[in-house]
Amino acid sequence: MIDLLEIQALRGRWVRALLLLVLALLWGRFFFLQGLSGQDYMRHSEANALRRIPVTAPRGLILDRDHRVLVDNRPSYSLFLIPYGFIADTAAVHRLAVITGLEVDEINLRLLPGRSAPFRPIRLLRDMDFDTLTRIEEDRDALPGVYVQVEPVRAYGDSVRVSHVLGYVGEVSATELGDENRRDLETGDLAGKQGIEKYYDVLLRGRRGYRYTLVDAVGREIDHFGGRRDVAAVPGRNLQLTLNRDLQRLAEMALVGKRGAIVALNPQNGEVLALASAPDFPLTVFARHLAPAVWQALIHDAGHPLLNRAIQAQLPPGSIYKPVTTLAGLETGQIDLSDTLTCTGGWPVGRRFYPCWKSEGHGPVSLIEALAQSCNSYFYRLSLGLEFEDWHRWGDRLGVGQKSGVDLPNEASGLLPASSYMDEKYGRGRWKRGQLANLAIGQGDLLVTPMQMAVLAALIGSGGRRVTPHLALSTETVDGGWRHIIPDSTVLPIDSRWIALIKAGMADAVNTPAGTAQAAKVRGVSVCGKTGSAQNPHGESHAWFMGFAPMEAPEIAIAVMVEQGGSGGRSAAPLAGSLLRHHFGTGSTDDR
Amino acid sequence: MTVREISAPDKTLAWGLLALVLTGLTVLASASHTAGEGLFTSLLNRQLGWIGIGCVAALIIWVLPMRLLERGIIPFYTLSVLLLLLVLFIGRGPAGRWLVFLGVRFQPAELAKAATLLMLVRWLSRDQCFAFQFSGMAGAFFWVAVPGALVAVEPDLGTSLVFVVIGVAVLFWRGLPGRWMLWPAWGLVSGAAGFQHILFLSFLMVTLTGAVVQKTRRRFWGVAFFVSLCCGLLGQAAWQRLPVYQKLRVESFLSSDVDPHGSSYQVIQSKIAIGSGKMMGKGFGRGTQTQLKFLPEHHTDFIFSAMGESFGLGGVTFVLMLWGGVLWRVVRLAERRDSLSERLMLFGLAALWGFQVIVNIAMTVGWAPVTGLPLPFFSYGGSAMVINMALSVYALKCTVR
Repeated sequence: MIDLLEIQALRGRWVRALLLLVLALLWGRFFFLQGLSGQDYMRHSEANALRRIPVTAPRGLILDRDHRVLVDNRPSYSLFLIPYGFIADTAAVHRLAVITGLEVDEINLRLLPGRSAPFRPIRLLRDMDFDTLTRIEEDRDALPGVYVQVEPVRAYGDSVRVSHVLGYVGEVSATELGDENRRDLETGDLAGKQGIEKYYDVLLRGRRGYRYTLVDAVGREIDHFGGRRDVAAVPGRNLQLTLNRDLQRLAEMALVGKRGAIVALNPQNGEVLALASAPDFPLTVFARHLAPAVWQALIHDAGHPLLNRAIQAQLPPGSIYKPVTTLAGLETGQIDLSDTLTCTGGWPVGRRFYPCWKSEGHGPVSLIEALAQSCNSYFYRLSLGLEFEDWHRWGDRLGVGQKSGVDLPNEASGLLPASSYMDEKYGRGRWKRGQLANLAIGQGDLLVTPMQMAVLAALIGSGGRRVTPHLALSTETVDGGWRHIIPDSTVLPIDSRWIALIKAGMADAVNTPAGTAQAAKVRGVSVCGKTGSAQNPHGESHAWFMGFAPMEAPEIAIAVMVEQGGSGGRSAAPLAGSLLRHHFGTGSTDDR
Repeated sequence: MTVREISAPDKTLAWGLLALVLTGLTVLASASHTAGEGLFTSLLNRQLGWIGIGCVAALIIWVLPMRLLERGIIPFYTLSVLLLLLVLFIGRGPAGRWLVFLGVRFQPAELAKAATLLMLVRWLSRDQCFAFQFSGMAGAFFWVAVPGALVAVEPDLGTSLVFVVIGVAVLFWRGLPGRWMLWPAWGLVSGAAGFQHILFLSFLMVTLTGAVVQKTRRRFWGVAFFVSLCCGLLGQAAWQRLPVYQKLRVESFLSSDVDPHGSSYQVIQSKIAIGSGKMMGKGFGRGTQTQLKFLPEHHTDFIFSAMGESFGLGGVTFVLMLWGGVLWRVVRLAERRDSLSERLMLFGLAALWGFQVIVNIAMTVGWAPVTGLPLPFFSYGGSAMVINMALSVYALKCTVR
């Protein structure tokens, strides 16, 4: 123990000496700060004070597949204010309302976060016009704590709109701040709200920087530390899309004045070459302060312009679904290829007579002719021999009733009715042949999106490859290279003879005089297509087209949907035809 | 033991501790003061309530015989470890470090600091043979590592460091040979290396190579490897769980120009507050940096900056001298007491307080990273106040002649 006492006495002396030394050093630091530099710091504190101003990072550019710019950035003037001086000062808020042209209520609403963080700047206006800017500059002294900052905003070219695909950017909402991949965002930051801007937001948005400045009581900047304290904003990464701008423009032009959607895919890898939905909306209104009236008008428009019909419209497919039923028939051996059926304008199913669309009848038809001429009677009879589960299984394999997995937010999955669904809706055993006959020709409870039909077309064209459609082709890496994004695709084992039969039927639909899809014909290219006219209890039928070309090794698969367009052959097939002719470089529209 | 003896603790220390409590209260009153309101803000009232609870706790500790208190150490330690476990699952608050009972928040980590110190002192107060045997050392490591690791994965690296300091300090005072101190130091360094994969792997590689090459010292290298592995994995786990802002704090302290999340914003504001206090300060409750909320966390982590602003270099000198005097006195007493456990207790307490005081104050002037360690007796916070008061009385009891 004596030993330990000695050790402790020795160590205690050292510890106490060290304590004194450290405290003396700290005291020296305080003497330096308060005694020697006190006057400087006093000035800083009186100047009241250091401000940290967030600097918005320019978002990454969005390019088409040939590196043509679809979305750019341009500088704009944004109006910010430090809420401190405005809370509980109604006179200041009223002055602000007069100058900015905003409603007092709206300003008060925007000031709410200022109650908990009185010195965090709040963005009041984005992309101000020149008049407002001038008014604000004239009244600077009456508006302490208000400042104008140059911020990048989105700029769009005028050759294409691509509204639904690109989406827009807006201030992040309180609920969005809780998201896992938005952890680095703060109130007031801009984030993608729809479309690609939302889906690839993490990539595109970059990282906010800061400007450190000293400002006086009226909010004027008095020192910027020569920029030494600033943290530069990191621009977002550029994103190259799979879209072809020219084809996209053509698709958008084709849909002008209509309600519908067009999707064109590369059937080999799922690259989306064009994706249009009509009516659309101008993206520019979202770049600046969105007046409540404009927003109300958009969401109450009877044409639902904000709806991306290509992935969100869910409609019965009509006859373009017949190839799927055909696959079920071939697999179960219900189709005798040597046999023909004589269509007399319909077929009896149970005690009822189900009509074909051609009331005078098609006469004797084989499978290929039934596909080419879209004969309902053939498929009614086929449905009589099919089990419901066989029909359902093929839809499920081909991706009907499932999200395609395209890289856009809020995709709809459609509806592939399973027998459990039918039991629930109609009662167990209360539905049977009639319902299946309807489903076999793509009517009834079946609902699909145009995107799913494009995937279906690609699948048939490629002989069983089920692709994941995608819009992002590659992203720019930090060192300026491009990294490709390649989603999965699977190849379904489908007998190549079955594919050949369906292709033959779809080729005849386009290329024979009796075919329903002749409007999609392209000179010198073997186009395969299938039309559909899905009955609509509320009005005209919805027109559909689904197809691909060339027949042997398809480069492009297309789905077209025109709401209440009537006949698929007359309304949808011509739109596909114009896209196909453009793609294959044959400009002429004659030679039908 | 007569009543007469019990009532004679070290007077200097008693007065010093009382002065700390009163000064801390005054500074908090000044920092929480708002123009147009009375002296007793709700914050101050709450802290006064906690001091009341602290007095009750102090009284109980003062009255109960030492023997009984010592018997309570193991349950106390077990309870605080359980609470630390609980906080991992139902922790509340911005960083999930609080438990809420009946609407009252408290921080189990504060409890665990005291419990670990008491447990360690009890463990190492046995005879020399035991303390320096493998089982003695392993036990000491275990008592510190369990709460330390639980706090580290909360994640609260600053506080987990306090546990390491307690462990090292008590072992140091127990007379552990200098070369043995290598192990905690080694653990600390390899724990920090766990933040970075390459460093971590190279630690493992070096120790492993040592074990293979130097056959005569294989046991030494084996232990080194084991320590590197455990501490490195622990450090790695803590780093992974660390929120982005804390990683950036560490990075921003290491390289002064990385600061996207504003920890240097806090330090700049803190320095302006302190500097602008000049020699005599702006006066009670009149610090503009503090009162206009330019200074963040001005009644918890950055209370010393608020003090510097209101009371100037004069106030800073007074508080530094007060803390210096108290710590000096505690160490001095730790050298002189007869009983080994009393000496260990006093020195451990000096280390516990001294480390927090120095790191907290150094943080306000930008000399230490923003770790969130409170300033004992000054920072607002109930659990810390009650525990520190209880520890004070326990320490005073150790000084009874």
